[in-house]
Amino acid sequence: MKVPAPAFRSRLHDERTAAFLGAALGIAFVTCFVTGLLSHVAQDPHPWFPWPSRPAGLYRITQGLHIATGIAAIPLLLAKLWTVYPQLFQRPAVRSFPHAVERLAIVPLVAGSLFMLFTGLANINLWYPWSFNFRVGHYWVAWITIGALVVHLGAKWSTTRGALARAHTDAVLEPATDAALSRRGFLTAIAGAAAGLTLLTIGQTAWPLRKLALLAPRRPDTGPQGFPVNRTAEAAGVDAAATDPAFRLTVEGAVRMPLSLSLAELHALPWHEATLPIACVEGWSASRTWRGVQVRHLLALAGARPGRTVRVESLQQRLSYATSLLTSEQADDPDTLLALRVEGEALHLDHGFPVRLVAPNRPGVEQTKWVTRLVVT
Amino acid sequence: MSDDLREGSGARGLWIGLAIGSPVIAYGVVGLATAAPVGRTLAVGRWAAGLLVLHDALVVPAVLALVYAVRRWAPLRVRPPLVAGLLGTALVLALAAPGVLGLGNPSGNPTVHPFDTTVATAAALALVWATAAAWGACAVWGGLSARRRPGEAARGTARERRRSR
Repeated sequence: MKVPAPAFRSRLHDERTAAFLGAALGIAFVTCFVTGLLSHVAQDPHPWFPWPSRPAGLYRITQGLHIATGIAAIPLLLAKLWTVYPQLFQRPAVRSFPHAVERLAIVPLVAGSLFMLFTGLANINLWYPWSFNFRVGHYWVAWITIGALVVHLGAKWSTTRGALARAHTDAVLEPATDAALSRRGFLTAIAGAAAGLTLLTIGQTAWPLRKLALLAPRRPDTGPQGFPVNRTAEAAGVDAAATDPAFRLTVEGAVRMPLSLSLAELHALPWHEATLPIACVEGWSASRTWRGVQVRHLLALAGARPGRTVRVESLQQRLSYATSLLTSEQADDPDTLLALRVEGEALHLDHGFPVRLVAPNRPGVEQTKWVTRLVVT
Repeated sequence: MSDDLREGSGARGLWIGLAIGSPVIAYGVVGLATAAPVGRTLAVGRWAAGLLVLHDALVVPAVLALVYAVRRWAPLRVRPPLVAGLLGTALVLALAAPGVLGLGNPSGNPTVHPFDTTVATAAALALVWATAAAWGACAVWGGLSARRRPGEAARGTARERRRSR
């Protein structure tokens, strides 16, 4: 039995609607891709692109933008897919070799786009219903998706330009319709939805809008000592070790005088104060005033040579992000601290008591908590 | 859809896009294949394909059915705000679902969804429907005003007049 293709007569499925949505979505995806790459480099610095320690709030902005744009892209993507849905039923399915290539490239583009937004949304909720590593999947599928987007852009470049250029005549010719939404109404609703979702989530990083963050998984003013935690001490399994009176911080590796300091000895060193954000990869951030010992001061005491890098090790034995790396520039920054206090109080256990790393312009997961060892390399 | 791929500029654009984009796709595929064991790489593919099928076979047909119902039963003037309200509701529920359903956060981190997610979702939905209701009220009021001015109704709205020129 031959199944007739469904008829889609609405203006919401035409080239001009698709062109508008495609342009907006393209901007959103490129923004997400670039900011995602920056986040990747910030977590795994490359010799050819060392992540700078200044400006101090740069990562807060790039990652906040990454998550906010990803959320705003959800209605844009769904609307775009809705608009072009009739092309699934296009007959003949393939008209020429270029047409076959173009249609084939749409598969990784659409599957990749849905994958990126779904996994990103799940990640900010710490929800991992799959067996693969989130970061690995999200990173590599981003390359596949952006590559497919480039192919699609090439294929649709002239069509899109033509559709957008027909502005005036098209508006005049648009007939009255009994459709649920006009094209203008549809695009306005989608833009409103993107803006609305942004407004209801951006407060997780934009402090003045925090009360409006009804749909954000975090609030920057909620948690122990008034800000959130990415991993609790209990989840890291460090409760006993972090509160052990015999705790010592060691500085070792390529140094002339290895150090082993008790908490009291650490407290007796000169203190430095810095106001820095904790900016999480999940998009929330909160700025706090920290006090502690400068890493560069400790390195000088241990006689480390100039230009060295430092591996910062945590008490946590399992799970990811138990260590982080400080480049030479980061280690030498005067605001890179082994923090002992926040907002005038001793650190809460969930915020890294007794000692945590706090440095300018670093992802939250690289601000290692429960620090016990600095290894100079 | 125009068949511009048969013409010069469309096909040329495709080949340029393919020349730039396909190495990027290949980089992603090779990177994914070498970054994780085969089973986990395949899991990424299964999830991507599954989401594609879920969207095309379930989500869009459901939206089509909803839009059909709106066109069938809702008065013309309230259709736009009604559809916008339904769209907003779907998006709010999609974003709020992990929190409301208690998905994820296996270690019970108390700073993830630190508030009552049901109340927060209800508040977000109230905002969506308040906006939709205001839009609907304006649309209905506009219709009533036009009916009170027969000349105006006969001439149509300003936008309709622009279209008819």
